[in-house]
Amino acid sequence: MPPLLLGTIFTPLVGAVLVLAFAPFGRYAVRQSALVTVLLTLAMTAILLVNSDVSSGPYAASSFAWLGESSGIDIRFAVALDGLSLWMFGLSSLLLFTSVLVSWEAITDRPATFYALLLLLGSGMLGVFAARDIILFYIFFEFTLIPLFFLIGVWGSEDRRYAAAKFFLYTLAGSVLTFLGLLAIVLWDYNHSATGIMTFSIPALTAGLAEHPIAAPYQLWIFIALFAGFAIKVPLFPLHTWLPLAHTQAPTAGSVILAGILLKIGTYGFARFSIPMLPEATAQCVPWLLGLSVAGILYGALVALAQSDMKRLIAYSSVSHLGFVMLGIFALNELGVEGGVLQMINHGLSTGGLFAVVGMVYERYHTREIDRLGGLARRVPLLALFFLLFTLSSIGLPGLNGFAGEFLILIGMFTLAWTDAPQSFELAYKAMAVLSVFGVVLGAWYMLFLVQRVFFGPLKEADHAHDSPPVRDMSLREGAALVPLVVFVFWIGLWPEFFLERMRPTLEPLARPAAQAYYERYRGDEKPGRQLAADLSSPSKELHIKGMARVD
Amino acid sequence: MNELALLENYLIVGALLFGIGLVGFFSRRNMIVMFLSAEMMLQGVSVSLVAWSRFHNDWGGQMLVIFILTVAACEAAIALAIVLTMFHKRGSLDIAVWQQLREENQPPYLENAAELPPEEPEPEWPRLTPSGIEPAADLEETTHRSHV
Amino acid sequence: MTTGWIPTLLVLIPSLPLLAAIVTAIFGRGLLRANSHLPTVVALVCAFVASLMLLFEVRSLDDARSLDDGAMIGWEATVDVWNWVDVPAAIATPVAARPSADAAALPATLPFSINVTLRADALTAIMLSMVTFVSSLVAIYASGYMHGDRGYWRFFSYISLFVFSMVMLVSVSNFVMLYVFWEAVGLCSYLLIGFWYEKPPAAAAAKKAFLVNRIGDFGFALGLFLIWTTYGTLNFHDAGGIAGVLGQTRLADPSVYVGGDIATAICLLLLLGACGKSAQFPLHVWLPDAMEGPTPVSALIHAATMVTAGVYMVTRCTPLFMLSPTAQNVVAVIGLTTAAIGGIIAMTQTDLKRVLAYSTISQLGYMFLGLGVATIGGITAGMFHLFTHAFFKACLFLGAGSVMHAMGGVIDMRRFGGLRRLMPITHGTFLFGCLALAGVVPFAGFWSKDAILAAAYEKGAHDDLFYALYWGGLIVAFMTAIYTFRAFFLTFYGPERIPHEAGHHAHESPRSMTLPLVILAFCSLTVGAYFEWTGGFADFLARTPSLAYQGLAAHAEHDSGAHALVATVSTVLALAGVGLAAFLYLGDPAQVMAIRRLLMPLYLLSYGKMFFDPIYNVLFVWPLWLLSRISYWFDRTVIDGIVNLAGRVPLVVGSGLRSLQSGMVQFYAVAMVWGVIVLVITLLVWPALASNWK
Repeated sequence: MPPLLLGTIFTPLVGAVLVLAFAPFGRYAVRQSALVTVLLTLAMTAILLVNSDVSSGPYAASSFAWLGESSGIDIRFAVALDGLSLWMFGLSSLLLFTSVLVSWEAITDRPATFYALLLLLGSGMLGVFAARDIILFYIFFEFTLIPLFFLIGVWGSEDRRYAAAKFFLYTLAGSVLTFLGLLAIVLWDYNHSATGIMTFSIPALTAGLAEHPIAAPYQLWIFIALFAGFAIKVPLFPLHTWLPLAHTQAPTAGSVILAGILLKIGTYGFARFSIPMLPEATAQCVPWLLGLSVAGILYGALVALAQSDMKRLIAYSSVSHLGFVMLGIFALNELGVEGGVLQMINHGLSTGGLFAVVGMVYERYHTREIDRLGGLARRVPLLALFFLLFTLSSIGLPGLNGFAGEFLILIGMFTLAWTDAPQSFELAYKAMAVLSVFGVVLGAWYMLFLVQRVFFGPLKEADHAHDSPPVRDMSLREGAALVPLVVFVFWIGLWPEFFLERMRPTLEPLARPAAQAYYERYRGDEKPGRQLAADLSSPSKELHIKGMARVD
Repeated sequence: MNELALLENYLIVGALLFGIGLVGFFSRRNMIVMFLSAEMMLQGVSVSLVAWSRFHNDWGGQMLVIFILTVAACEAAIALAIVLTMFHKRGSLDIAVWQQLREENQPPYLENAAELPPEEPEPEWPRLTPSGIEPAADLEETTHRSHV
Repeated sequence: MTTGWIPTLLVLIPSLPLLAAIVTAIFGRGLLRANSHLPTVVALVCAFVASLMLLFEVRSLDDARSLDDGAMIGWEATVDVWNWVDVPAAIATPVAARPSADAAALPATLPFSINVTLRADALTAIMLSMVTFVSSLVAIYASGYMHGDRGYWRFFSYISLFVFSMVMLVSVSNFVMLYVFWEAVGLCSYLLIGFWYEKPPAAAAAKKAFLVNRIGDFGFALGLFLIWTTYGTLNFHDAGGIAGVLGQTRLADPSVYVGGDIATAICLLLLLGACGKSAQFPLHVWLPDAMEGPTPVSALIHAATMVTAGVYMVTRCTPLFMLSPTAQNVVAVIGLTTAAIGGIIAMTQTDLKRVLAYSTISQLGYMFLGLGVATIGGITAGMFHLFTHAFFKACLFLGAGSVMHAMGGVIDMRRFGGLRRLMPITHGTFLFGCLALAGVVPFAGFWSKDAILAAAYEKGAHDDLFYALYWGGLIVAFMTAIYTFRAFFLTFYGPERIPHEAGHHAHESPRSMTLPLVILAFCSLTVGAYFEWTGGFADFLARTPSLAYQGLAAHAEHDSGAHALVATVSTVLALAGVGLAAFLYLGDPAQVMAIRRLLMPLYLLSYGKMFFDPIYNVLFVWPLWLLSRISYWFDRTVIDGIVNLAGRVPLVVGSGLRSLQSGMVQFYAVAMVWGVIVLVITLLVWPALASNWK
């Protein structure tokens, strides 16, 4: 169903135009048309996901020549979904729906422009995950940046201009380098492939570079160039300082999308480009990246502990959680990569939900200061329940989604540290693995501290204007925004295999070259009496051990 | 005297003309003199071109000189017109009067620009009475009506 | 092998409370309201009946199997419910995953395959019956106790959820699921401690309980990861052709377990997890604070069931602990240390529930002491103590709740007294509980505590450490008798005093509350003697695969002479303790004051709860707090400072270049000439330089 994927990506774009056209009819017409658009997008995404079939490569592909066909440059408008992008694509749709609903009452200033930009952003992020061409990817990548810049800069809080500028410049500075890196990859492939066509197609490049890999020193430089953009986007410690600022100042919808989707574009980029295309450099950088990830986990958690602003606290918790995602992806084994990609979705659900609830509290009390609130569970029990639920999901309570991801990541990291570590890094890896588990403890601390101060204890409400209506518990609309997230929070937590088995066919070969390169690199540095698991890549389906008693 | 020695003489003259022009352009603040210096540099280059043309036995250099002369003529017309306008504006030919194109908050490059003459007051021009219904007569207006 | 009804029962037992929790959560607020307890009570009673059926089924199948499947060690059956995660080729097969020498036949990699698998064996059956029995009674009690509370429906929803989690915890068959429900019971405990969330101490206590447990879980998780990297599986049982950690294959040949440092590390990390959940030193600090929750919760979760999860886990992992004598000794020492700490602090507390909380800590310490002895006698004794303790401690807590109910929420023993005539049923049942706790013949606590001490004494014959632990245990038994009866006498004897909060109608509690009390008191009297005389408990428990294998049987020894000696000594000590308490607290208060003055430092130490909270604050909380502040400062000034500095570079460069724009024509001309000169020179010089470098 190729047209369906294209349709899903472009529906928000068309919706944006429609919304602008409805501007003269007022706020109600505008937001209803936006809602219809996202519902349509969501429905189409659901059809795409239900019919997903990634076992034999990407599906729902559609591709047509776009630029420079006659001149030997092959830039295509190619989109498709595979195991890596499948769930992120779905999550983008879902969070777009949530963010339209949470903006329902909050946005009164120029609503048409707001919703048009939001839908534009939606198109951008759907496109990023579906793009199969580097130029197309980069266009969508930047496409997500500009609408969010305006969303923060125009509809944000008191310090919005500064936050928007910092967010924009910081991200742009990195992504320009990324673009250079991507071009370098394309040029290398062009110079070394026999076809004589300069291809920008991601699968073609991945396959091509497997045959004629980039020379090691160039790989490192290209890796660093890609790293600049992706690591800022993630954000990896210490490149994270734009994030708390942008989150605090962004309108609720902006925070939800930013935390839920845009950060994952960074980790997605690592998994899509850096690891499969630059295996040698990845192998070389693994210790450093793992170190930075663990530093981010602990540092983000520590700084979150010191926050007095709810949104800022959750923003720093994102730094910590994205550290887990990076840790998993760069553990380079099956467990870690699957856990990392699953955790990308988990973080989108739980942190998106948290930001949405904080936005609802903000709408009622016009403050994000923790000290000015207290005991809200008494006044808004349902809101408190949802907040607690997303908190528990975020701190990795078993049975909810966060646990499944974190557990796989950690066990992947332990597998790396205890069975596959080269001798020279073994101690460092082990320390990292243990410290990352400690990050989970800290995570529980700051989140529960937040819950305790804001929702428990004696009722303390920030003084809001006397003529404003009395504070009410969650409305049906707010419930509708959060319930889909909760459904997935439980679904992933209770049955992660459902999600994992639909991404496994793509993820299995993804990290294989990098893992091979990693083991090659440290061959001769193994622990005595142990072989590094280079043969991990050839899964043996025959798992019967002779002479073993069976239970049944 | 062979061809090479002849060329050298001409080139020396051309270089001298160019150098004198350059020094003149840098050191004088009178716009007319600066313009003349620029013309002198142009002529210095022209002499060299003619000499090279003769030396190489082709017409390229001389063609270029004719072209330069034409351009110089146009240039002179425009430049002198601009100088005239600038003089009208400020009543001085000193180039240091015109330093406004510098960045904000930068001090002027030259402090001792020529004294500007006092601004002339705008002359009182005659005015026509508006048509239509006659407005209430204004005493001051009626007193100035004589010119029409 | 036939499994009969077992799969159905195994699935049914957790499903019932889960269903009740969901029904109550959805319909409680609007529809059920004051009847919210009904789904829970019905579900729990049904689950108890199902558990009993399971118990007998396990027993009868176990008896029958010797005919057709004699090779099995112990007896177990499993049922897969669904597949949670199944990652193929997750780890290169570790050496220890190879139970046979035939390495060539092994796959190169093992999958990470986690099923939600329920298991039935003796240990699980006993735990299931105990948990569902106590929780049914507590639910009935709570229907009276919580009557009229705003969150009535919420309470029963949480309780059902807790019972579901606890039941799953004792019946799942792999470490990941054990961890899952380990944390799930922690969550329920968090929700129930913070049930009255408007009270700041309750909210703080809930958070503290969760965090301290998280520290324990940190250890548990590390232990679990180490088991994975060592054995390549996390299943208890053999599944999918891979030998489980506690499966038949490995138990049949204990030599394929990995010993040495890694075994010690695994055990100590698991022990850290157990310490968190079972409130053992040094992670015991959350339990006394947890008394902020409603009293039925204290009885159910923080005395009878959840806190024993650590004991259950260590028992389940006995084959792992048998690999490391160091770990065994640590378990025993931590057990006795905790028992002593709990006993000392309980001596002087004035809050009735806190006294019981510290006594719980102390009794859990006894259980760990039994487990640390690591003989079949010690481990079954520890589990036996867990079993009897559940009854009499639930009885005591519910009695305390009954007192609290009548006293209008006051639980400070200094403010009431002489309640025996006012509350005769509570008084009688509380007395039974106290006698059991103090270990007086023939009450339940006597038999189990005596078994633990006897096991330590027997092991003490070869190992001086355990001889010392035995004497320590005796002293703690003496203290137990004193603080138990101190609380009893202060509450029920002396002049009748009633706090003004109780109003004029302080009265015995309603029947829904006294009925469970009576049942539990009856159990406190009988369960110990019954199982001791029939020998049913230890024999049945020993059929658990983890306890039935060769490695443990080698340590089995029995000396009935020692039992008689230990029993005599401990009985004498218990009676002496009771007598001392009677002498002090039934007599002149001046004596107590005199002793208090005499032992002032000791009194302050005990009354200040040994200052664990302030010490932990200074050692851990404050430094972390400071570190977080410093990190935030560092983030704003240094990291963000560098970013802003980088952002300032274009501005600085630009403002430097501004001075070039002078607006003076000649200046531009000079710049132009210089530019030409540089270009010419470059053109002249560059080829020369380039040729030199080549």
